[in-house]
Order: sequence, then C-alpha cells, then structure tokens
Amino acid sequence: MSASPTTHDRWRSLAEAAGHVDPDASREFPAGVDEPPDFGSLGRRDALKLLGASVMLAGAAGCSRAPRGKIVPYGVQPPEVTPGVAQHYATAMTLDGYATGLIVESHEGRPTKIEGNLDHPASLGATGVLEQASILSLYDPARAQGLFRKGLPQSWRKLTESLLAVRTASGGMEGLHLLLEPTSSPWMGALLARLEAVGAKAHYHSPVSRVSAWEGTRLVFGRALDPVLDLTNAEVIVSLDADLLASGPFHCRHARQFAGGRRVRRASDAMNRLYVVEPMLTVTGATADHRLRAKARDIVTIAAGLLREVGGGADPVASLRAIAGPLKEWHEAAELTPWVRAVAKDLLGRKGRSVVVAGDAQPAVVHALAALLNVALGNVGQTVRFVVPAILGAGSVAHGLGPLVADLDAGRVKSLVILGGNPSYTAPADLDFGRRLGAVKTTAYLGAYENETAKSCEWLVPLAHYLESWGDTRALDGTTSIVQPLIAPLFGGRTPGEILGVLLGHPDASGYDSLVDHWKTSRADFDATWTGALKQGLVPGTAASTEPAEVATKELARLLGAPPGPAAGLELVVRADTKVHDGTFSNNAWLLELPDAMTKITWGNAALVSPATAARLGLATEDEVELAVSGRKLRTPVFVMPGQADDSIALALGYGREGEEELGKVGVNAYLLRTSAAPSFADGLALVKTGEKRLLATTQEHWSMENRPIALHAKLGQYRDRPQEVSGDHSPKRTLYQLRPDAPNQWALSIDLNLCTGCNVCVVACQAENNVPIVGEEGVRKNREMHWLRLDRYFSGSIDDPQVDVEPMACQHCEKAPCEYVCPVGATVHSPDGLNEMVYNRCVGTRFCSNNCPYKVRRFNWFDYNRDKSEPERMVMNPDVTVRARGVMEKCSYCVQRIREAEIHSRIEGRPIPDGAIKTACQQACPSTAIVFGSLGDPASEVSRLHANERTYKLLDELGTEPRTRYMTRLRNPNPELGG
Amino acid sequence: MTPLFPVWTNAVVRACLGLGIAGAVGGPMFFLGLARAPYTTYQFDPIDQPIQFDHRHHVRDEGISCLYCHYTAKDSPSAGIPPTSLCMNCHSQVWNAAAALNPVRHSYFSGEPIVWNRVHNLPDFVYFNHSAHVGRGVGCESCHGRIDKMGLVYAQAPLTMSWCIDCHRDPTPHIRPKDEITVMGWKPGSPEEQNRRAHDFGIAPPTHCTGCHR
Repeated sequence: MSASPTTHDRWRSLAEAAGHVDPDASREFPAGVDEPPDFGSLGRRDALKLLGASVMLAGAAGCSRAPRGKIVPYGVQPPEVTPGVAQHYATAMTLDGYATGLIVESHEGRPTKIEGNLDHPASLGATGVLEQASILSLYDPARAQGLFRKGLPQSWRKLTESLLAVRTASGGMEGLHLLLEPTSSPWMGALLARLEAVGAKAHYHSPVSRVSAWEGTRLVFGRALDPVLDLTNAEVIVSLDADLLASGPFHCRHARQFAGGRRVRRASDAMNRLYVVEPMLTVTGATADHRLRAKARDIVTIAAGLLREVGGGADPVASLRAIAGPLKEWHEAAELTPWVRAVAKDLLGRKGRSVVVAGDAQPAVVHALAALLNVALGNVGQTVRFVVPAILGAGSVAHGLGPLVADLDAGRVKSLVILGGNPSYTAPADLDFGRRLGAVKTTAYLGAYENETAKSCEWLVPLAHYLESWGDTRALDGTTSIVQPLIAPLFGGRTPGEILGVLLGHPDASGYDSLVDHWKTSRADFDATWTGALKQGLVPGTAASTEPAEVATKELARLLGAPPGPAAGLELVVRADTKVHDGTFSNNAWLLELPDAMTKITWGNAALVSPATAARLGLATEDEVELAVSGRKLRTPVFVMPGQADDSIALALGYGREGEEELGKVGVNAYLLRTSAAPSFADGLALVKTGEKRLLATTQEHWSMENRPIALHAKLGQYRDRPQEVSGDHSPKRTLYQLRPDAPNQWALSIDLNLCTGCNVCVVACQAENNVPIVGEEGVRKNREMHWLRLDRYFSGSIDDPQVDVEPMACQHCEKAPCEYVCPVGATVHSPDGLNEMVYNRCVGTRFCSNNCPYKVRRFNWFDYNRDKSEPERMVMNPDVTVRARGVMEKCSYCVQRIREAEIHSRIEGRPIPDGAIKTACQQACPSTAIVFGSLGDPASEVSRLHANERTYKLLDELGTEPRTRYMTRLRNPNPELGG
Repeated sequence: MTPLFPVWTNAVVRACLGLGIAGAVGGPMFFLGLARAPYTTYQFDPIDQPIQFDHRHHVRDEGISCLYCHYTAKDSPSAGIPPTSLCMNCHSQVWNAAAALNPVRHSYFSGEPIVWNRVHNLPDFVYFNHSAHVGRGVGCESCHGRIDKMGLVYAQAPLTMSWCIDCHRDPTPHIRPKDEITVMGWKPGSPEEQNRRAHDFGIAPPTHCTGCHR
C-alpha cells in the first residue's frame, strides 16, 4: 500500500530524491535565519551604544501617557453605512476579456477582501489566485498617479484637445487607431462602433489571447466559437496542454464541476478520470490520473492520433465521414502509442460522457482536432457546447498586432490611443513595437503604471483599477455583469470607456452616465433590472445561447495543412505565469512571494529543464544559461524540474520588468524570445551555459517533514477493495487527558486531498484575510516566509516523470497541542471550543512553540514587516485581525474573527450557528470545495461526517496530538490498460 | 581582634539589603500600579470637546435615549458617534442660531466632520463589540457610568483587562431586561431574579483569549 513510509518514497527536490539529507532538517530553521540584515559597518561598540540608547529611550517613552485618539464621525452618514459593520458589493473582475463575478467586502468605503459570487457562472462562490490578489494592486503606491505628457504633469483639457486634434471638420476620425486589451464589454462595444463609424480603427492585443481557439473552431464549424465545458457528467476528461483547473476563463467552474466527479465518500461512489498531455507541469497535470509529458509541438500529433483511433480514420464515424479525405494524411502521420490507444479506447467507452480540451497556447489545429474529437464522441451538447464569443471582434483580424503594424509602417496612423495592457512589453519581440510607437504623431496610453509602454508614449493617463471603475463585462458563457466601483479612484484613474467618451466628444461626461445611457437605450426593462443586476452581480438572462455545431467540411480541407515534421533539438515554451499572469500583476507582492504551485519558486522565474535534459546538457539548478532562438538571446537561471518534458525548456512570462514597478524587476523577461510566428513555443532553441550562478528563492525544501507519511494516496481499486486501509492506523490512542472541552461547538476542518488541485488560491485568500506580511526575496531564501497556509508539494516515483501530491498545510489545531505545553508565558492556549489560540500580546518570542510543533506551521515575525507601509498600502489591512509586530509568533487561527462574529450574531438572535454558516477564508475561496469547516459538536454537520469517513486520517497520528484538521487520502483512478 | 569592618557597617548592609528587596518588589509593583492608575488609564478624567455638548442636558433633562444618537450600538461593534446630520435633526429647529452650535452648522453645511476627542480608548488588539453587550442585556451604564450626570464625559471604568474579565466571570448582576438597557440608575433585582434572567438569556460570556483578541 502506498501509505507505508519507505525511504525516499516521497521527495520534494532532486537532492532529496538522491538521498541527500539536509543537515538542517532536524532544526526548526536553517542556519542564518536569525541573522540581522546587513547594517554596513556597524561594529560591536556601536551596537552597544545603540542598545544603551534604545533602553534609555524606551524608558523615557514609557513615562508618557498613552496618546488620546480622535473620533471622526461622518458629516452626513450614508444611509447604507453602519460604522463597524462590513458591507458587501457585487462587481466583476475582467481578465483577458472574460469576467469573474465577485463579492467585495468593504469597511467604511475601503475594500479589503475579495470573494467569489455564488450566483456568477464563472465563480460559483470561488475565486482564482489573481482575483484574490487583485485587491493589493488597488493600493499599490507604484501606480501611475497623474496625467503626464512626456513625463511632465499636464491638464485634462490639454489631453482632450490633443486627442481630438485628429478629428476633421466633418467629424471624421480617419487616422485614429485604438489598441485595446480584449474586452467583452457591451458598453465599450457600442462606443467603439460609433468611433469606427467615423473612420477610427480598433485593434486588440493580449499575449494571453484565445485567437488560436477561435481559429480552430472557425476551421471546423465555419465561424469563431468559444467552447463552454460542463464537466458535471464528464467521466473521462482529456486535456491537450490545457490548464483548465487553474487558469483561463471559467477555471473555477471547471474545478468545481471536476471536484463533483471526484467526491468519493464511500467505496461504491464513481470517480472521473483525467488525462493530461503537457510539456510543463501544471496544476491540472499534477491532478491528472495519467499525465503524459510531451513537447508542445508534439501535442498535435497526439491529438491527431486520438482522432484516428476514435473514428475519423479508415472507418470514420458518421459525423466525420464526410471529411475523411482531408484527415487521411494526418492519420498517417499520427503517433499511435499505447498511451494514445488506451486513452482513445477509454473515450470511446464514454461517448457523450467525455470531453477533450485544447489549451489556448496550442495552435488552431489542435483546437480543431479537439472540436472534431468532441463531435466524433457525441460530446457536443452533453459535456461541451459552443457559444458565440463574448469578446468583441473575436475571430477577426482586429485581434493581433499585424494590421496595426502594417498601418504604422505605411504611416496611416496619425494618433494611437492605447487603452490598458502594456504592448511595448508584451508585443512579440520581432515587431519592436516600442520603437514603432515613436513614429506616431500623437500617442496616448491609459495605463496602470509608468511602464515600458508609458515610456514610449507621449501621454500617460492613469488607468482606474476595476474596483474604482464603472463598466460592464461578460463571462465566457456570455453572462453580463455590471462592474461597480467600491471606491473613488485613489490616483485620479480613468476607465477605457471614459477615454472613448473623450474621443466621441464628451470630455467631461462621467463613465457612470455614459454606461447608464448605454444600458437605458439597449434595454427596455432598464429601470426594473438595473438595481437588481447591481445587487446580484449579473444581468439575468444574458447567457449566450448554444450554437449549432455543424462541421463545415470545405474549411476543413484547408485547415490542417501539412503535419509537422519530426522534431529536432530543443524547444522553448513560453507561458503566462500562474502568478503575475502576462505581467499585469508583476508589482503585486502577494503574488511574487506566492510559491509557484509546482516549482515553488518565488520572486522570479527560471528556465525549467527536465532532469534528463539537464543531465545531458550538464545543467544544475541556479546555473545561468543563455537561451537563443532565431537570433534573440536571453540570460536566465535554470531550474531542474521533474515532470518537465525532455528537450522542452519552459519559461514564464511577466517578469524582468523595466518600468517603474520596482518589485517586477525580478526574474527575466521571456518576451524577448517570443515572436509573432511562434507566440507560445518555438523550435530550434540554442542553450549555452555561461558559467555564472543566479540564485533563486524557492520554498521547495523549506519545512521538511523528514520523509514521514504525510500526504497519503492510494488507487481507487485499492480503496474499493480495502476501504479501511488507505488511511493508515485509526486505532484510538490512550490518554490521561479529557479530550473534548465542553463547549457546544467544537471547530474542526477537513481537507479532501482527492479534491485539492493545489491551485494556490487558499494561500492568497488566507494572506488577504489575515494580514499576513510579505518578507521579500531575501527573506524567502532565509526561510522567513510568513504564509499561515502553505501548499506542500511532494513527488513520488521516477525523477523524470513523477507523480505529484499536493497538501495544504496550516495549524492543525491539535487537541493536545505540543506548542501549548512549552510556551513559558501562556501565549498559546486552548479555547473551550477547540481552537489553538495565539495571543500576540503575551508572546515574547521564545519560539519554543514553533520548535515543538511537529507540523512546522508556526511563523515568526523576524522583523517589523508592517512598520514602513505607506498610507495606501495600509488600507488593504483587514480591520478584524490584529496587525502583528516584530518578535511575535503567528499561525492559522481557523479565521477566528469569522467564528467570533458568527457567534455574536447567533447569541444576539438566540439561535445556534447553522452548519456551513462559518467559512474560513481558504474554504470560501477554494474552487474545488476541498476544505470543509464546521463543528464536531453537531454529529450531523458536514465536517463530523467527513471526519468519520474511512478515507480520513490524522497527520502524524502516532504522536497523539489529536489534530482537529484532518485529511482525506487522495485517490487516483488510473486506466488498467496503462498499468493502473 | 579588631573586626575588619566597623560595627556600624552591619546596619548599612542590612539597610542596603532591605532597600534592595524593597526596590526589587516595589519597583515592579510601582509600574504595575502605574499601568492601572487613573493617571495612565485616563479614568475619571473629563475630556474637553470641540463643542460644549452636555450629556446631562440631553439625557437627563430632555430624556433622549442613548440609542437615538448612538444608534449603531445595537447592531455594530462600534456604538458610533452620531454624524452631524443627526444633530441637525433637532438643531435645525431648536437653538438653530446659537453661537455654541456654530461648529455643528459649519460641519453640516461644509461636509467637514467634527473631530471629537476620544474618551474610551481600547488598544487595537481588543475587539470589543457593543452589539454583543447591548443586545444581551448589559446596560450602557454598566461600563459608561451615570452619563446623565456628566457634563464633560469621562471614563467611569479603567478599561483594563482585569476589569473586563471580572464581569465576564460573573456577569449575572449586570444583566437587565432588554427594554431597560439605556435606563440610568438601574438597580439589579434579587439574586434569584438576576440568576433567572441570566439563565433565560443564556448568558455565557467568553473568558478565553480569542473572545476579545483576534
């Protein structure tokens, strides 16, 4: 059974796999963690003088009375505000053009926390990492803070004059070009249509676009469509390089539906099966039952092989018979490995209950093949439906920089207005977009930062954050939401819609008026629906209808082209980062410090190389290499990553910034290697070792569990045969102590490892809710990271192609907590309702508790991380949680502030707290419902039932700590034909 | 043999020892006492305010309920200082030309808030909740004293943790009928009556740390 601890059964890094034992593993922290920062030439005598002076000053300070505060009430209190009570507003965040509905918590007009909107189809109550962290960007003091022309402050009137100079006497706007990020806003669509009617031209650019998906569906169905998945009834899911559970539009919905098919509570429950083919390890790949490493360029042949086996080949299924001819050449080139045959057989056994998904980074042909596979398997209408894309101009040439560059070169652009994005940084390197901008007479940039694009434009207009904006936006399935602001623009930001208003000759119209005008004219029932839509966070009845998916054969004949020839040499894969995305979030400290879900790298990126390729090229982690593709070169550190496809080097986009975003300068700029011909992967990569070393900050080997059986996993078959055995020894431990204190509620948490994908959102949600500080790159290297909740990632099996297990780890709230026995000042004690409480004001920082904690979940404030925060940065703090100072210990509190608030309400109202009413921050954000919180005092509560489940186990049960957080063994559902 | 030290040095040694012990015991006690003394806690210290607002007049003479102005006390952690607009509910009619109310009118018409001086100042790590007390039968007077007798308001209670905990350990004498929360000069009933009321209300205040510190 896999639960038995064998030597090197589980490992987290190559060093561990090779049997290297960290000499510091038995220590709480590695050597050097308590070293003070370098103060330059501070000698012993100076230090003593400072010590003496500080003692004296501390004494002197102690003699004064505490300062009296002031109370500043409202002049006129808004009727909806009750000081001290948080309010919640529905809005939506748009990423790459697609909306996710959110509920934002606001304290007296100050938004502090983002949650998902239960009613919104993209959220279902959950959020992604980027949505959670976006609130920190709102208060970023590095944001553009004023209107500038060539670096000098300028007035709004001058800007409007300059923008309207292109207008001819007859009102024509020829020569005005607009460059936007992909948008789905109906309001913007109407404004753009009016501008285009008078000769302006709109272009859309994003490095993370769905252009290839639209092109793929266009080739198959004759027009650009967006596939919308329904994984509820999908028993077999095949992902062709799609990270569908953790990134892209609707990923929260995918994860929620996917979890529904994996919620195994008893041996008879069914479980879905996930196959993933991908070059670099993603969250979806780590969750897969079968993962196939493949170079990005080879995925197309695997897709073609699947289609051939499924029935487009010699004996095509009826729906594909008409296009058998054009597919023939591909079928002959297709790779028919045992893997492909087995997956195809599995798919054929689940017709109408399976789905094939292609990743946005794959070329159109893979999307076309995926669509054909779904057609052939009868999945269309069952597990996947196609809708008209919500994005404006989807499938047209407006998406992409090609036409704009042609116009620039031909001198047809008199005025270029860039609304959002950062094209100088994100445009393909071969276009040299920043330089081309210099030739335009008037360039204006509406941007969030004084970044690369701002430097190459004449005008910089600060962009309003979405929490400062009025607008509208649509989700993948077309559901429309109104974006409503939570706060007035902090730095005078404007929205893209307002700039379009200026161009239409309304320089002083507010975005709100313009938006309302649009909705009044486009909807007859405006008055009846507007308030409800704002409150609910979506406009009911706006979801797009399902389009008929008829295969258009004449397009298909052209589509596939020649199959790719055999691959030679190294391949470069560039992907939007899972944290800073395309660079939009590269000044967000929460995201920079968040360990990558798979590599555990923080504060930067690195070229990921498979162990076999690294051995062949003589590379080791932190070696610097020079990558060269078609004459473009980039120096980057290497990270040897198990699970990476051989001969495929992956590099995340979004780092190595050159603008005013101070934090974003970490890492290397992968855009320098990205060309318009090969936007996501390129052949012919040359790699030269420079001989230098570049340090990375990774948490991979922090908080060692010293090879104890922590993250348990088993195969579904094992579980069905012997359900009691997959979770180890359950026998009760003898104790002298009474275990349960007698309060009616006994709080506990259950984490189902079978549902957890390791997407990281719980970590950021915890950070946002609990004011968890940032320690910086140097701090991470010294093991000082403060995350209350971390995601441990374990490998097992072969070094090249390991199995991955992820386990969220936070304070276990032991009933017999080892930390409590050793605290000399009673700073960590037990509450009657079963919480392991941390009392910051008693803590004197001995760190005995942390030393005695078998789970390594206590975090120590080595420095005063919050002292030097600027005014806007302080505004993100949750007022319900103490901001900790230097020298105190902290750890997961089960979000005690939420528990106590619910308790107070229940006591005032004289009713018990219903099960499920209290959600911890991690639980609330979790898209896959892996985390369940509740009271063991109620035997019918969800958490009571889960704790009694046969898959549930206690971490390090043999220590007798009786943790209140319990885990459920992860199950895998392998295909017996693939050695399952 | 002559002693090495004269005899009188014995007295010096004893005196030094005594002083040392007194210092070692008394020093910490002094500081512990100081931390609890009204000098440090501002207990009984009437605080000047930017407006001569007299609670005696509003509460005692006019009989205005505490919850008319501090209306969030029953729904919110914060009892709230009323917005200027609430003052003007009456003072647009009554004393609407009085010089003493100039700052109120200025605040109302300009939108600039009145900046009051804080009387009750809890540290930021204490999460006191008014609604949890007001909604459970603890009267305003229990903590704030006879506001109806205060010209300038002062803190009746030291707001030290021991003062909080005393009541959390034995809340029964302070539990009132819920319609008498704002009554000034309320007297507890017989011990039986108080016990019964506390039982009926299900009063069980937290005495563990996260009850107030989060």
